[in-house]
Amino acid sequence: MFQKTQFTTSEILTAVANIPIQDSLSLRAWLHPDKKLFTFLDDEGKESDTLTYLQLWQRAVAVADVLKTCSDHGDRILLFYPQGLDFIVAFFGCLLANRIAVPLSLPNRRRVDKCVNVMTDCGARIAMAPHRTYEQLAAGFKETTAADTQWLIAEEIKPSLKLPEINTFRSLTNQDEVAFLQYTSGSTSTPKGVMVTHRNIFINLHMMRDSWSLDANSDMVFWQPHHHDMGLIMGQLLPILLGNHTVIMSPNTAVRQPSIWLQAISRYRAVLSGGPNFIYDLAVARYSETDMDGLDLSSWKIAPNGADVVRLKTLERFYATYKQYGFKMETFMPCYGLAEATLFVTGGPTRQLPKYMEVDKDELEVHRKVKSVTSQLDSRSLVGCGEPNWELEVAIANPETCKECAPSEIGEIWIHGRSVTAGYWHNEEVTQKTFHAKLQQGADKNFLRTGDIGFIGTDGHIYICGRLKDLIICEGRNLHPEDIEYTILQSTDRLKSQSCAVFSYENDEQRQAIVAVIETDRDLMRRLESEAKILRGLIGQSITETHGIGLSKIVFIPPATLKKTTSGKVQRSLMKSLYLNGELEVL
Amino acid sequence: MDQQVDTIKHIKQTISTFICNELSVDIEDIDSETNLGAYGLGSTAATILTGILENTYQLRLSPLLVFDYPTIDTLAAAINEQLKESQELTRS
Repeated sequence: MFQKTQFTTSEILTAVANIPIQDSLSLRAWLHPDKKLFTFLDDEGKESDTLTYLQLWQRAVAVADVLKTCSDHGDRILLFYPQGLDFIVAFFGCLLANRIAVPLSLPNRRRVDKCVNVMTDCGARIAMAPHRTYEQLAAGFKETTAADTQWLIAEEIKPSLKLPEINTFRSLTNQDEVAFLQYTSGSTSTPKGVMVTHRNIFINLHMMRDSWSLDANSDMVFWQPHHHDMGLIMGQLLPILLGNHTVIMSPNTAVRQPSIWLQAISRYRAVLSGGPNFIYDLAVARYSETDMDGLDLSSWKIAPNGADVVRLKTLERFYATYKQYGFKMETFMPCYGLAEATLFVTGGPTRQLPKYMEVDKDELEVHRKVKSVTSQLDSRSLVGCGEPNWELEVAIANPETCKECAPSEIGEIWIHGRSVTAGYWHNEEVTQKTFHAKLQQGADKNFLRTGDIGFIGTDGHIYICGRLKDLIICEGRNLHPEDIEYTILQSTDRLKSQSCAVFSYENDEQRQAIVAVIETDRDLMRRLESEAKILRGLIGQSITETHGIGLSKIVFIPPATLKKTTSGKVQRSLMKSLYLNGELEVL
Repeated sequence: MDQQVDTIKHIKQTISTFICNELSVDIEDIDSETNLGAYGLGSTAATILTGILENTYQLRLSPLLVFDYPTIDTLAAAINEQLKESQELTRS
């Protein structure tokens, strides 16, 4: 075949927006092999590991070669990695070998059930992990259905000595095949693996690139974990499409010492860095002049704030604290996205002040109507999460009638476009319901039902108001109330087979509060006076150990006062409104 | 010796204040022998607390410290030990 010898900048831009991300890696490993791709910072913010484009490619090729000897095309490979640069090697190894990567968070030593359920759901036989992680995990899986998993130890795979060639960067990968499964949507008992295809990935990545005008000089600093869609797609795949240098650290480092995160942005002249709303709050709360010595945030152009509620007060406080270091209000990029749409849906345009609206709380929460108000009383400030990228069609639909909503009416956010994923792994029923919604009867066009409630403001931005179902979003993570309720009832024998309802609300200080309402029986009600304190302790401890979050309030209610549907389902939103209106009889 | 007692008291106060402010627990409800998880100290909050203790006492703490010493009493004692070690180190 006739061979090319060079690429113009335009050719590279078009190529990476049209080929699987692993092919972009091969292309870039040929174009600029020695350019630094990733740098990892340790707990103290010091450089502890790096990868060039060629090094990542050579190490990933070696992983792919091993996978080809022990598995088949399309097999699922579980990836158990602590934050660091070994994860991305294994991930690209899977993609280059046409195996389906399944990134997972490391389970708590004693609580492996969620992991085991995911392993069963995706039918993986092979798992990859560094040696230390393997040792910690393998014991936990003994006597579970995952006990006979075959483990590949990361350190035992030596880098390949091959070199990328320009005539082979284009693989034969079918772009509509599944590249990886994202397991952040389901509950413990029914995990849901989002099937992200090769096409979904490069479409979503070029959407971010183009919406935010990023290029090879847009270096980034990221601390989000790679088992989370934001950490993986934006933090570790976007760099390869862009051809930039990206600095990664552990979430613990940024949360423990936010100054290390901000100093890294300054030191590496990062253009893009961000996280869920709480990290900006934390950076203000933990501000100290000495830690910020020499800080220069003037290179920072885009600070995504997503995966959780975006709060105006947070943006204002952060700006007030850090403007003296060159941070600009226009840098904030409130955005909206979800794993079912790969990641990015709306955000931008760039270089604009954040948009916000003061809306009537009652109209919003009770009547699902948007009514602007001028007084602060009974109002809720909502921050606009930007416009969609041109690739997507976003509609607001009435969740009951499935008809498009009128302007200023709140409805469910529906999405159509090439970055909407292929559905849930081996779950045809829920995939049909969630991914194949129609705005008009008999129409060809499928929409994704996001389950998020919102509206399009008169300023053209999307405003997110909450969840259609009872899902709790805490620190950027999705928590299923049924999982928390299950843990509560399992936490102590003293509760026996009671019922409970868990919900979350925003208190007057704009902080999230998670409440558990537990129904008693006659026996428990009698014991409550002497046992309430110890019960609260046991429940609270069990919840933090299992879910890593805290319950703000645990209340007990009299027998037979927990509201349920005729089919016996707990009515969480009804319990929530009774509780908030003070209409709940509390023991 | 008195200074020791004061330091431990100070550390305990720092932890209680954090529990009180961050997790919205009434100060009267905080007991120094109760597992911190019972107050709703999740993994993110535990990491934030570690960072605050690091800054307050100019120490470098293990991210697992709060999990290894999960009550106010034990955690304060562990931090006090580390504080003593680091002070001896600077003296010598």
